[in-house]
Amino acid sequence: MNNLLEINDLRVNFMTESGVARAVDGINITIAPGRTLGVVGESGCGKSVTSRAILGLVDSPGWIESGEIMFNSRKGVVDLAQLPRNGRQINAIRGSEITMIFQEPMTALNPVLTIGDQITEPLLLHEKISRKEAKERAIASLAAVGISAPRQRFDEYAHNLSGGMRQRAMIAMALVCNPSLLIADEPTTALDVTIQAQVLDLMNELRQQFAGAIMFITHDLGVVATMADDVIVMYRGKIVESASVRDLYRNPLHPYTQGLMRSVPSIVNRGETRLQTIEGSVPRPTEFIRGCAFASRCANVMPVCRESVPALAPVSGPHKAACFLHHSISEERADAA
Amino acid sequence: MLPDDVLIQVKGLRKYFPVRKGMFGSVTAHIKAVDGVDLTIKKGETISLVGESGCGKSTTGRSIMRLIEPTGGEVLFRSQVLGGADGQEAVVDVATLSAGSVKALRREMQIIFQDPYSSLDPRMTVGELIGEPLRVQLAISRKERDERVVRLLEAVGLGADHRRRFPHEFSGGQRQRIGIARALALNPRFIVADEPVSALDVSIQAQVVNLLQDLQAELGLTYLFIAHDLSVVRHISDRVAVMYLGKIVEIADADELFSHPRHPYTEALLSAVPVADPDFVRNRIRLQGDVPNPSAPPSGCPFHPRCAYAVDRCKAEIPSLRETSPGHQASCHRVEELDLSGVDTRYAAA
Repeated sequence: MNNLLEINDLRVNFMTESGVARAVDGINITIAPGRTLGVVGESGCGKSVTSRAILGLVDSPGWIESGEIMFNSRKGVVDLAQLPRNGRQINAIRGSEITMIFQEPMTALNPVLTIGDQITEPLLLHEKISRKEAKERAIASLAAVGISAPRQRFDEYAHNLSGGMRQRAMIAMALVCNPSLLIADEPTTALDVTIQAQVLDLMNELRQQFAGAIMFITHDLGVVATMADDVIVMYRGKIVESASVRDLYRNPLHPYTQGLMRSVPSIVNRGETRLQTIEGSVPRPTEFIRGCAFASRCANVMPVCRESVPALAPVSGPHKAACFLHHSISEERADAA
Repeated sequence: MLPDDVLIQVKGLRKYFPVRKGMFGSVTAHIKAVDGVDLTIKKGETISLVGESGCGKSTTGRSIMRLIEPTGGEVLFRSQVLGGADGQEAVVDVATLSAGSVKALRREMQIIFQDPYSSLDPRMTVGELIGEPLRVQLAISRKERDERVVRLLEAVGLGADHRRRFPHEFSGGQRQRIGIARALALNPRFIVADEPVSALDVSIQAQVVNLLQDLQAELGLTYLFIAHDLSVVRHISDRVAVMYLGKIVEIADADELFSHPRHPYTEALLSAVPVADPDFVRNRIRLQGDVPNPSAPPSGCPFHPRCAYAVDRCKAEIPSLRETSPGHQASCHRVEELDLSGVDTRYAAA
């Protein structure tokens, strides 16, 4: 397997009071080593659930219904979807080969452990090194993310740091074991814009040095444009478009992607007096929808859209869209082929 | 005393929060959340307050509403409710009004909150939520109230059948519409919108921004829009005020501020916004460090420790807000000599 990660037809369901919600509904993702994949979508589209499935963190009332998450680990290719939860194998990968940065550094960091304790923890757990070596590596990692006086910060607690510094500490923790895949789930959403700019610059610099791949989850189209090589757009558990970042912004194909891009006001020019909107809202996750899930909000809807589900199929080169405006391949036909 | 086109004039508004320490809670310092804000709000305009967390923008909005007690300053408001019986307007100082008068004033000043999940009582139906201000403030029959609730629901794009449902049955965007209907119930002239779209998804955000603009055109509302999303601010505002550590550092017409900022902090804020274009070449002014602790602000210009253009004078003297061109004010010692770049120049260079 040349790719670092290959997700094949992954389905993750959640049991809710009103029935089964298909949070992730048959998605395919590949990430090559060293690439940054941006995952864009609104709340409930399944972007965070996908990342939790990769890390083996789907908890009851949710479960992985079917599909594969093939990961090229140091010990060979494993299917993360099959590994027992909290088993030895997933524990060896999580926090070492695959790590994660969360949105809220204050809730993700432990308030009663020092920053140093938290950064050395994965090192001591995953690598056979002494406490002293671990401390030196942790301090080097703090310095690498631009934390001043790292030796002093090592003994401080999360509440001693500002929001931006906490997010840097979390990045240091995520990178200290040299992961091959870093999952960043809205890492700058909770930060102020000038601090967000600092953290994004830092991540871009680290991206050059650190050879691993990044899966960058966000709802902010501006952030994706500055960070990603490739982008997938998710809507209601499915990938509706996948392309290189340039193709996606130059020529968005799916009406949902087009709608998202038009509904963001531009800082550069004031534009028209009214913003373009996508009418309606995302259907409830437990609602059964015949045909394309976006049909009820789509301005270009055709009769076929309410009958069958469009497959994510190539439109031009590697640029794929799941929309009958661009091809006539439905999911059923794709399955039969 | 107020020019005819002015609805609100804020003069020297201050709000200090005490910092308490020790067992007996003796006051050791003050956090100057709002420290001498002057602001004139014209009838029918949208003025935005922008800045990063802790800059005092929400505290300013709430002090103007008198949801919190200001420490000092005046908030002159042109009131109809407190005016003469002949429909004459009276100019009142909201900061010193009695509690009873403030309650009456709520008919003219309302607020929309950021989080529609925590600002609506989960045990009240939508009809009760929107009808509550009518019940408290106006002596009208139940039937009349119900009719007005239906009209309000329709005005914000919801239906009459929604009024017997509870907030949890609605999506975030619909809840924000309920919050807007509640704020509009008493026919106010002035609305403070405190981050009204920040908690919403992108596609829903645009719907709510459009709704706010439609309502303004229809009802002649005046908005004080508090936000940190500069793209939305540029879209919705007539004028923009930038706050830093409790003070307004720059104020101008929206287009002027975004294309020709005169304060280095505004320039840095504008350059930090990620642009949704992968080919955009970033010429970012990187700000060092964080916003300083407001209980111990730096000497001189509060922005000088992070400012790329700071000189010795900035460490010693506090700059005052000065007019640089008609309607454009900035508080920077070097305002005449600096040539700062706005978003348009930044884009043209790319």
